[in-house]
Amino acid sequence: MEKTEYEHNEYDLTKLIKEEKDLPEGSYKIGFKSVTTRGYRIDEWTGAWVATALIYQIVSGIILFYYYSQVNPYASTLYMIDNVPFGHIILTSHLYMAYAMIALVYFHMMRQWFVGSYKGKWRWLQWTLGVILFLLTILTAILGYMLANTAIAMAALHIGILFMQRSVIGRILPGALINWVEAILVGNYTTTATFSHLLAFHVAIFTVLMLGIFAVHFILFERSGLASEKAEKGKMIPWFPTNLLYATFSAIILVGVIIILSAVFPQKLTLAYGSLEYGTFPVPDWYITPLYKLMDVAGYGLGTGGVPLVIGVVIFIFLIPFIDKYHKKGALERPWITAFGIYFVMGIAVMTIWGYSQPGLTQTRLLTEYMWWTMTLVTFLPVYAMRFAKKDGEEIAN
Amino acid sequence: MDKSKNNIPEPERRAFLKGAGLSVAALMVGGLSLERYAVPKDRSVPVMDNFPLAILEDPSGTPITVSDVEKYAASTTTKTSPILVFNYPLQDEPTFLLALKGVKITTPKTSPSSGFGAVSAGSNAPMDGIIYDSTHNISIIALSGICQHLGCVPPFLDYHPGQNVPFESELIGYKLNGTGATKWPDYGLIYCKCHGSQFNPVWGGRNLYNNGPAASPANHSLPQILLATDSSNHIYAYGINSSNAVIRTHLKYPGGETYGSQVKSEDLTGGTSVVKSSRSTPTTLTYFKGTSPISSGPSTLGVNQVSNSVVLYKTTVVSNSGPWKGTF
Repeated sequence: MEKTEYEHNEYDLTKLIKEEKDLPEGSYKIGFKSVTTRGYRIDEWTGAWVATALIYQIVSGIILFYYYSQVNPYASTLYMIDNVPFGHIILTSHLYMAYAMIALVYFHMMRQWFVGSYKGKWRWLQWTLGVILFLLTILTAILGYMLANTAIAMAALHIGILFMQRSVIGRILPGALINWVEAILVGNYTTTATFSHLLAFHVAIFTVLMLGIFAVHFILFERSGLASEKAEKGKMIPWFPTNLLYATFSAIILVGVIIILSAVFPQKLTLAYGSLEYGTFPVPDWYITPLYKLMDVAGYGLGTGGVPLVIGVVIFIFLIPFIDKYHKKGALERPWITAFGIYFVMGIAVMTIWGYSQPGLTQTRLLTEYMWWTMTLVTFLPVYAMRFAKKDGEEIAN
Repeated sequence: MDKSKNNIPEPERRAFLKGAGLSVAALMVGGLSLERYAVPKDRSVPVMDNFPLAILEDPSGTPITVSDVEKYAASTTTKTSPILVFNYPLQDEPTFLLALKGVKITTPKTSPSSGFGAVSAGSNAPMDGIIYDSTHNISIIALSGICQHLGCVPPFLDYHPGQNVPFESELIGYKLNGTGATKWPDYGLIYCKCHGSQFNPVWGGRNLYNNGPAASPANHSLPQILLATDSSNHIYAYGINSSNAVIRTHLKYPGGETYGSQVKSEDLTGGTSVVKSSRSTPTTLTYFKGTSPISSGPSTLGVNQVSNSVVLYKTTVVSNSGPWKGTF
């Protein structure tokens, strides 16, 4: 058997509560570890930016929560923009940081995917929790976008509910269960009940879940350490102050960029629900369009084809640490996983742009098939070609 | 560390998976037992016993008349037509009020299973629940503004008359002067910009349109709201034509009936009732049913009553332009 480069996975969770021995110098027992200079490369900090975004969303969200009213959602959002000091910047930055957070979550996830740092020690658990955090981030963002009671937000809510009823979810799960899920989401469907429920999910339930899972995700990271380096005596840079300052400065830069963008391009609130203006239409936010488009271009219809496809992709991503049986690290050492990762990134990008430019348009199955197979070809072929080239090169060198 | 022991310890993994599976199962069962705490008592309970009798008013509270609506009538040469919308049977349930000049909408002959198509009016009686002005040859029909596909409402779902082909429908191949499937119909279509469903108002209650370049993702027609008039030509909504379709945004369970006896109870759950009117209930209403117009007291319409007397509700007709500008 080929020797593996990975540390083995730890499945005994009771080991987590035992005290850690042999910490590298400059570490703290509460989970702040020292790293080598390798640890200060920018690609090792993708998670820190997501965490920064989460904290910023909580702080700005609390300020917005003071003014939001679920009885009068659209009017209270307008009030924030017009009457609250710096309200427009705070609201816009809350939106833009949500965009940044989703983009950074994708970046963070794909980086781990290509590097293969989801195996060894607790990293398998860290990855699966990360996938849950990814789903929670998207769901929380969608709920936040519904809270303003704009026409597009209500369209999304109606579509979401009918979608649950009419897709495989509603058809396979017992009626009582889907009724319950719906009641949790919208109550008895009056405007106030709907927005009270959405607000509770957005500001409390999902946020607390996210914070809790993030804490575990972070502790697991500190327990497993960086996937790409081993602690080496004499080379460690103490956590305090270097790591702390690095984290603080990168956070300040991210928040600064978002606040400047919010000031320069303040958000325009789209059409209120119930308005009858014709002509230009708001399209769903960009992080929803891939899902929206994937449903139509799956080729089997919205209800039956799209939902199982999306669920399948999520389950695949969730189980990657167990599906990936390669023994070596590095993108080209794990060719089909890497090729699928590129396929995934390309698919998300194509779906986003397509969904944004042609939202309400069903495609023919021929075009769909053509697109998927082209993407398959352009992802798998080069990755395998490069892998063979690399092997050849290594053989020649030896 | 001994490198040969790098394989995964199987029993531990199995135990973990078993534990995880059991926890999820327990959570689901436990969650179901909490149903009564999460589901409000008034959920899935109709907000009133029968469809409300509602008088149509403009945003200032004045009842609108048939001739007010006829001013907006769309003909085959119309380029833009203001959209009139009122909420019925509940609040937040928009309904289109459409006036079509030069057409008599009659009851479609085809059954829902054998497909939809145009019916030549000839000497047939106007369709049940529309208002037909034979002097000016104008039909006024009310169709639910909730798309039967996934529930999009105006302005995503909107009516485009014959000379107004929306950009979104051009993407699927409709043309202003097209022929065959690409032809935008003479009186246009109600087109949904969310996912491209098409409905032809001239076809009356069975209006799902699948004759274009791309099929409608919806598989039911827009439900027809029944209209009546009183002696001053004020317009009233009094129910849904149950032979066609149900408003499906609040079916109790998926797969509820699309037409038939369940329609009433399903349509009156999950929402807020329209507002009561302070006007007195009209003594006589005229409406089309069967072969000739009928005039009778409102209690024969089967509308909502409280202690054996008909309650009059009101609903506001709003428009994107003109004197009735407002939000529904």
